[in-house]
Amino acid sequence: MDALPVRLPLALPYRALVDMLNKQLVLPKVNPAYYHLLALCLSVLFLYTETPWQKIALLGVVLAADWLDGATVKRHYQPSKTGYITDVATDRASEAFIFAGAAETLTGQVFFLLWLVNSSLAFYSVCTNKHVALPLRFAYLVLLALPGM
Amino acid sequence: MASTLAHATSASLIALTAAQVQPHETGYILAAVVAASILDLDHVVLVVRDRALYQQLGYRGQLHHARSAFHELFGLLLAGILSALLFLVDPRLGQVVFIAFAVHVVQDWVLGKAHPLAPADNTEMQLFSLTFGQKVLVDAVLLIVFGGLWTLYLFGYL
Repeated sequence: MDALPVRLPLALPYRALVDMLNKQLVLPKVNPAYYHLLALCLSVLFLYTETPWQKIALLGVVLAADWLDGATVKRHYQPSKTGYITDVATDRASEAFIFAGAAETLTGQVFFLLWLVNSSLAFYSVCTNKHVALPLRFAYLVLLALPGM
Repeated sequence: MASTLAHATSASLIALTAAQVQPHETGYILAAVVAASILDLDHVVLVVRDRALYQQLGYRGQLHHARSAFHELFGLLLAGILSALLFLVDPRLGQVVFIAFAVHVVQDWVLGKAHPLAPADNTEMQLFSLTFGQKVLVDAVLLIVFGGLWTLYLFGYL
């Protein structure tokens, strides 16, 4: 099996927190591809959202699906290079739809440019075996939830 | 992977409705249809180049070999750079082109085999292991559903 890119030490406290929360979850053994498909379909649906609350709700579900796919793999399957590549690719595609849909605003255009950086980082990660990615959808969710945005 | 006609009908309509393009804005419609289908030109180039191989293997279930890196995240990244430049001139055109292209790429990822991080890494990804018959069925459903939606769109009901 090919080695999985390792996470940077900066991300370790966050991963420890997520792993702790994962232990509390009841996770059925389903094919993680269904969570990827759900996240992708909802990201396309994001193109049609109009109000900030619609965007926040949909983004929340997309991020939850992304979390559940990772947690399911850790609980029921053996993490693999194929799974890592699938996760990275579907995450970047999900971000592509979300930020392309928001590109009529300046904030959306900034996030779209950051998506270009994030996609480049996916290639950097597999070339250097160090996983580097910006949590863009989470940052966008926080920004949407801020009053006055 | 879906047929080029299924990509052209579905990906272009998603892009047009998401960018709120009206049915009389033919320039955007043309751009969406081209962006949704142009990617499949790489199949033609690679199938012609490797025709001896395909005559041995057959075409059914083998066309994922006829995908260049443009069909992967690399292509999406290039389309993103082009669209970012288009945002400076005409943001809606940038949106239409990018969304149509991205839907095509993702449809192929969901329905078939891909190497999303090629050329940097050739690990194969297959979300669902669909049979040829299931792929034909998905293709037919896409054509029927989006053919109907196109009719509604052109008559101003979407």
